[in-house]
Amino acid sequence: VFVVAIDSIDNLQEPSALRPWLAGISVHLARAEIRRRTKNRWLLSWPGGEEPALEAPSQPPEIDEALRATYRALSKLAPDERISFALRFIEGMDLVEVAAACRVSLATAKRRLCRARKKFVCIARTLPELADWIAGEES
Amino acid sequence: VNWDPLMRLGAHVAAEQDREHEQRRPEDDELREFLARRVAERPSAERRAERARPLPRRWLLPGALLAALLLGGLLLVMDWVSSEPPRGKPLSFTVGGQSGILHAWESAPEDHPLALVFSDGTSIELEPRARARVVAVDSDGAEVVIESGRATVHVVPRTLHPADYRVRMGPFAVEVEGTRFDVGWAPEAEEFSLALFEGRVKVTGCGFGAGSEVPAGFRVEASCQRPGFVLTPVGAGAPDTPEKPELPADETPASLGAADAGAGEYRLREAPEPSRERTPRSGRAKPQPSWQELARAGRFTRAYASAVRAGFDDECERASVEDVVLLGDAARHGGYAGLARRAYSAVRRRAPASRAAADAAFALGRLALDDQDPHEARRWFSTSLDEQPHGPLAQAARDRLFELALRSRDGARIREAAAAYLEQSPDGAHAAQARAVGAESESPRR
Repeated sequence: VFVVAIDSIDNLQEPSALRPWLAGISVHLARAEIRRRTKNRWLLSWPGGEEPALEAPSQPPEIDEALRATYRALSKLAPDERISFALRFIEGMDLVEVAAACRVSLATAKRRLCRARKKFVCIARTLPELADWIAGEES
Repeated sequence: VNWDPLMRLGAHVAAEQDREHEQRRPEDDELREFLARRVAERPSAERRAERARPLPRRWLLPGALLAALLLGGLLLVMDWVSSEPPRGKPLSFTVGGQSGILHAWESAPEDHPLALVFSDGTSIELEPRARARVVAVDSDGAEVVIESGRATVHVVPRTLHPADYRVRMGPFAVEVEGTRFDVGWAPEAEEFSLALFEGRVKVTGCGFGAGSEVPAGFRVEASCQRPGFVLTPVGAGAPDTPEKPELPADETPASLGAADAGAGEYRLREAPEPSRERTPRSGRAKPQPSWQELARAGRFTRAYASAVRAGFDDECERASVEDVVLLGDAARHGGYAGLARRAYSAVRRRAPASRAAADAAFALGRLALDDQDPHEARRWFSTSLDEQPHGPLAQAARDRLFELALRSRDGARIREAAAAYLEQSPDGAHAAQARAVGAESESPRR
């Protein structure tokens, strides 16, 4: 992200917009990376004919169960929904910031978040590690 | 719509991510240096403007053709390289198609097998009722413990650097680079068996002593209750093997010194001494990386093994305290909590009240958390914080202490922890939650 930012800093017109500008670059690169990995599923032929699932790398045991389960649930969302969800709920951005970072209108951001929330809650209900966290959450 | 539960979960995830990030300080320093170099090497504004000028139209067609050729070549190279995982990044694995968890026991159901698949293509298929767990992974392989039952192991051989898998069953261990074999362990009878279809493996434990190589096409059986082992060709009295492989001429029983064994029994040749094994394929000896280098590269299992070979306790006294913290981390990530504690304790004894000692205290707190001992964990996190209140792990220690207070379900302690947290970390990851605790405690008085 920072390499891209350094190389394209000339495109930043307004210095006060640095934060959303960086967020936009991060979102763009994250989306490209998620799509690249998804494409690799069928572009690359794996030895033995059996393709391993694209999961987060194995974590040491002390890594929190909820964190791992959240990654697992997020990996099942579409890239745009996953990014919107992470910006809103993990990064704590408000809706306007999410829309700006994703370079979409506020209405689109709202729709995306709504879809992401519904899907995430549905998936989370199947994961015991997240049961306590989402208790009370509407699906 | 009630957003609060997801906000709470998100804040927790963010805090965990921050904590993980704290553990990567060396990477941050490297990144900072890299970015500083990048800024320094940035071309001048005139040069950038010159580069941005579009190419003359006549160059467009040849340029596009060249780009297409390059892209085609790149795709071919990527296809070749993609068959091997990148060096330095630990392998991931799945169990029955789901993301696998390190140290978690996995049991195959009674009626069908269960597959453990690693991201380099290696697979371990547990037969029905078999039980196993993955105890360590690094970029070259993994260590798997089979508690009971049978499994079919297929380690995918690599071109660029050898795979390094280890399968342990009770006192027996099988070391393997790239091969295909069946293995079984019956803990009650202490019976070990292995049928090797391809490649070569080294077995250690009980009758195998310091280690013996098993050649392809042979089946070996051993037990700690009797000396030695029995070696028979695969297919001779081994009904569960898929096929009888062709034996290379130089691996016939006669060449293995079988004449003095009983009927159908052969003797294995001794595995090479550790100093001679895994000679580089070029024939020239390469300097082996130190455990410090291995640990810094994230290859914790190898780093730990290397330190043990050099004398773990000696290394704890000999190496710099920063390196001993690293050694503790290698042992901890390898699942050797006891040795990790020894390393961290050595750091605290050798350099009390130093930054390394505070880091060691924090790591001891994490080990206590693994042991479900919140009292001990609290003690160590507090020690780390007291010793280095402005150190790089201070914020993580404050987060952990607040989380421990929340887990205690003790109202007074939670309120006290929330107040302390807000005072020290008003912008911390748990600040919102701490404020909510404060607000809740005040609400009945209104």
